[in-house]
Amino acid sequence: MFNSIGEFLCHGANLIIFMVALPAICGILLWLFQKQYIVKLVIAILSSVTNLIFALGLSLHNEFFTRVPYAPFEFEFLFRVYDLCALFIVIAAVVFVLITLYTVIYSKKKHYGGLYLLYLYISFAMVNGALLSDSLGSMLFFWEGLLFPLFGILLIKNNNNPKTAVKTLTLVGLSDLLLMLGIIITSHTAGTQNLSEIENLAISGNGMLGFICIMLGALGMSGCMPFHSWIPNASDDSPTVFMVAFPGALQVILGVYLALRTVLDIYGFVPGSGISIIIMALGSVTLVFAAAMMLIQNDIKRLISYCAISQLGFLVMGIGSGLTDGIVGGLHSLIDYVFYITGLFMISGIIEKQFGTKDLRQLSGLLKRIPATMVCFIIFLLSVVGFPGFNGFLSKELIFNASLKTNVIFYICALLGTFLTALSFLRMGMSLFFEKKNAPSEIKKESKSSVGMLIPVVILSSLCIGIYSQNGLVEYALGIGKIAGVTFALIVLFAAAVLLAVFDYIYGYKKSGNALNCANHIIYAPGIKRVYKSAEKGYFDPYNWLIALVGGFSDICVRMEHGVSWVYDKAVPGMVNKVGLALHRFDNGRLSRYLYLVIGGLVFITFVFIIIK
Amino acid sequence: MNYLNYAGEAFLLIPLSAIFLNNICNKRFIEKHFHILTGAVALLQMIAAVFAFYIMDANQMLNFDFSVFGSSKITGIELFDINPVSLVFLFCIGMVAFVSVMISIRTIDVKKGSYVNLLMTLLIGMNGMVMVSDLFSLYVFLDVIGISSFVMIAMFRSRKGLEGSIKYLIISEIASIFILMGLSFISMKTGSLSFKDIGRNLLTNTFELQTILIYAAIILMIAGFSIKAGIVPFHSWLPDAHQSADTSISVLLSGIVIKIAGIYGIYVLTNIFGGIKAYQVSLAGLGIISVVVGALLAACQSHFKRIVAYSSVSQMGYILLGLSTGSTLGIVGAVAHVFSHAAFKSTLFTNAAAIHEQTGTLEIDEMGGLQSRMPVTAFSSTIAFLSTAGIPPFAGFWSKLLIVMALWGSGNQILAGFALCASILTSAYFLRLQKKVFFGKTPEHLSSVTEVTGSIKFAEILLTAVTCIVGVLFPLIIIFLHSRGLI
Amino acid sequence: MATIIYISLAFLLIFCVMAVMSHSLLKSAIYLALASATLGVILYVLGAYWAAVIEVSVCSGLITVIFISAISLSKIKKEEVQKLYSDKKRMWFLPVMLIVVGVALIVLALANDLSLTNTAEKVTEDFREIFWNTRQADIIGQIVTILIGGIAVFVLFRDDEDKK
Repeated sequence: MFNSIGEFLCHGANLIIFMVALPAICGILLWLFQKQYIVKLVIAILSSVTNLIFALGLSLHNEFFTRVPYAPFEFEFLFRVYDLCALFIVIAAVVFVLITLYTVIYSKKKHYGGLYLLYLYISFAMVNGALLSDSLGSMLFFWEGLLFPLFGILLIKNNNNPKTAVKTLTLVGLSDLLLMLGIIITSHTAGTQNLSEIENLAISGNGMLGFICIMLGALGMSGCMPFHSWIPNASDDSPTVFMVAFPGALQVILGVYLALRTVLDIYGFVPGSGISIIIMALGSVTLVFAAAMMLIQNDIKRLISYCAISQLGFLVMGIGSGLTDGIVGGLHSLIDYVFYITGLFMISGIIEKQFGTKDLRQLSGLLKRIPATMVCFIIFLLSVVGFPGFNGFLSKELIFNASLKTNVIFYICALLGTFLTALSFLRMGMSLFFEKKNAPSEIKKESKSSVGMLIPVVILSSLCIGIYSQNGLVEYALGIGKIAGVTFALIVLFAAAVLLAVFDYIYGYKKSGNALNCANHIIYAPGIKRVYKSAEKGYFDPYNWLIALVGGFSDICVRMEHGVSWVYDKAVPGMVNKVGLALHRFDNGRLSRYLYLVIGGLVFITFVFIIIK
Repeated sequence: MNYLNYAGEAFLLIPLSAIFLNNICNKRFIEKHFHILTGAVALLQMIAAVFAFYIMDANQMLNFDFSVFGSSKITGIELFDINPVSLVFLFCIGMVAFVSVMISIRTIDVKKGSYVNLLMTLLIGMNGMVMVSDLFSLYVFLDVIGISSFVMIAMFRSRKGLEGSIKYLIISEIASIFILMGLSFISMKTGSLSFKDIGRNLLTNTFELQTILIYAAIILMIAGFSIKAGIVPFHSWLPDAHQSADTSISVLLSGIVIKIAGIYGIYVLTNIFGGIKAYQVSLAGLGIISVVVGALLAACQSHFKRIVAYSSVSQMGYILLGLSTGSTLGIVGAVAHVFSHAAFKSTLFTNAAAIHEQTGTLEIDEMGGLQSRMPVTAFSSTIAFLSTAGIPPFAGFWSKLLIVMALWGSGNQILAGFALCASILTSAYFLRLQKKVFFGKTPEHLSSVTEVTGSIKFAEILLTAVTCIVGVLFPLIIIFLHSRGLI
Repeated sequence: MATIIYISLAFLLIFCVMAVMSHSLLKSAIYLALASATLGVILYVLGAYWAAVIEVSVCSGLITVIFISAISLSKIKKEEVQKLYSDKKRMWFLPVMLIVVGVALIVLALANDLSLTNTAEKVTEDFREIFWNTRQADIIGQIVTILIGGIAVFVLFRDDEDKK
């Protein structure tokens, strides 16, 4: 059955119609029917499952190309479906099913539900298009197309305070600009736009610039540093469903896809070269910084955002190493990431909806109240840390391998990141699950937990269990044979790091008597306390630097403008006036003054004659 | 040749006969119809000038000598001579006199007979001055101009009028003294003051004392004519004289008298002494100082006519700059600027008369927003201002262009630059004038002001038309001059 | 010859300065008459006989008579004029300077032995011919000047009937 579907799709414009236009149309339908809950549910489930079927059909089909002419100026979309791309499509489709289910149920009573679903579907259509496209131009088209729904969604809730939306748009837009620059340079260097024809460009000179730009652009879209600071802000301002879909799933899929293509196909990436070190450094900085920020958060959603950023850093480290281990680990890591981050955001949404707050200090004893949710929560947390038995384990080990092979510093950073992540999860988990000593006794239970919202969570968490579960898929997608297994020594070191985190937690708990304050001894350590304070104030936020720079520049321009208008409005007329008035006062109307002037003039002319003669 | 003879004699005899006519006619008749008489004289002068120009050009003559009361056969000396330059001046004289008559219809209410007399004598003086071929006669007619303009300023015996005219008289007499001294020094060498005898080789075959005397003569004559022309630093009498005289007389003063009495004299000097480097430098220095100081002084005045008077000072500087280059292009530019200055200065004074007639005041701080109430006046004022500032396509632009080109060509690029920058100053004070008088809010006491009617309006329109048409058709003039080998 | 000229010049200067600076109108008129008489002397010595005659007769004689009669006929009292000016400060340095400069120039001329060579040859024609033929333009100018004088007197000094 799948084969025939695949066959069907590769004819003519069917690909674009069914993979791109169909989700968009369904989005419009959902918007039109925004008041009818059941209809929305049915359409959502139908459309996303259909999409999944199509995706599976594509993936099982052989590789093929299509081109779809779009406009009279020879602009056309080039599509190519092959293994890597198909894998990503399937991942996206799978997670999309769950996201739509969650979204429809979550936004049951919310007024923005219809519009939001429209934007969501349009974004998904764009993602599909970008994943499928074969030419850099059409990929860019779909990539940019993602920006508009993004902005629209951010404005839904905050029409009169669009600060977050502006910040997001600025940062994502900046990364898009870099991407455009990189694409232009790449296609110029390669002489063609077709991705299938670009093979192994050299990373030097123009190539280096192009490579850096593309990588920064792609990873910036996913939320890597330095384009990360909008995610925590968005977690404060925007609806949970947004966080579930975008930073959690769609953007990351797109960004990592392009990064992988760049590293594997487009450029000849040499492991251990200078550029590789740079990317790994970027990844490790992201990892450690975000993990450290996780430690002081009191807000669940912010904490999960920083967790997402930090895991992305991990992923970048893997890809940046250029080694087989690293890349395989990175791709694994992506699949895991999509699952657990989406799941974590969903759960935070459930908690917020049910208890009306997302503050860690006010929530406690949830294990007793919503046990099923909490079990999934635990599964996700363990998966993030990389516990054996969960899907995060394999990817983490592979990435540890790769980073050690590159440089021991990166390995230490990775361990540090793991330590910090584990510690902050312990902190969050312990304070959430069990009763606190001095927590408010009654938490309002506002609404019954909706079973529907739980379903996607459960599915996701089940996908997180299982060791070596996606082994075959990834390797098949990458066209790689058997990979090296995990090294035992590394596992030991990893276990040591996690145990260290546990001990540190217990120590902190004993010291402060409170789960939440268990990391206080780290946070308030001299030196680190300062860093945390300034981080919270936003000193490390590149966006703030940018704004300050722009502000400074416009200040200079204003001063220059004032200077120029001072010359024109005050200096020159003032001088003219002063001189004129002085001359005017010199003439006092008396004849004697006139006569002196006459004599003076005569003397002047005589002078001229004497000098010249 | 007969026509030219008649034309030349007409310039002197027609005003004389007009005086005659004026005094024998009945006083009431003159009071009612004086403008016809004087207007006819001015028109005849203009027509005769054009006519003579045409004839001279058709016959390729460069000058024409004649005598009044025809006694040339006896001594062989011709006493008057006209050449194309003097015909241009004569045309300007006629034009400004015509405008003055137009204005005087409205502004002069008493002593009209005396006005006619004095205007005619002034005309004789000016016509004579541009037509003589002898330096001493030049001096005599210069004195005629001086005295008649003095009387015209003092005519109405207002306190300010008398004060301004006494100042003017004394300084003008000093100028005459300077010129006379210069003349005498020159005649010590040559014994005769006729242009032919002086020629350009005045400085050859001299011994040292005579050379010093000749140079002293040049200095004194420059100073004397500069006083008459209103060049800085000899300009002080000009604003007082203009402000205190009646507007129809201010037109004459600024529009033509300072040019004939002063600029024509310097033109004569340039013809004789133009090759001397010191002469050129001193003229250029005086010129640029006039341009700048005149503009600066005009920028902070509060009386309409004073601003226009200082503007005259500034424009005389431009003419002097043109004359200082020593090239034909410079002289052509200077003469062209004489004409265009006559046109736009007369326009401005006509506007002053119009405003004075309608609002009763000439202090610009009391005025405002007159543009909606006196649109013709405002429009002609704007055209005049644009022409002064040297903005195409008006006449002032072309003459300034010729002067600047002459300056540039003779190596005085810095001066050319200064002259151009001074255009900005010119625009500055005129814009201030325009803004204060015509734009802005109308004060309450002026809310019932209406447009001026009658002869003043006619004069404004006529002059504006002249400025525009000459400006637009100036390239034809340039082609004409080029074909005659002048540019 | 030169001595007489220089002495006359000195006197001329002194008379002119005193004519300008004296407080009494009458005295000024008389000084003017003396000055023009001296000028006549100079003209005679220089050989311009006709000019000397006309100068002395017209300016010294006729003009002075007109001035004195006008001053006598005018209603202003001499004492009032004098009082008007008596409390004004005199600028004494101007005439002093003039006199000093004049004397200096004379001494200079004497010292350098300036001779008046290269002057025009003496005119021997009948002055009527000069007036009418060679200097016709000047005559026209002079006639017009006299005309203006008359008009000026009429305009400036005659009371209008319209003025009430």
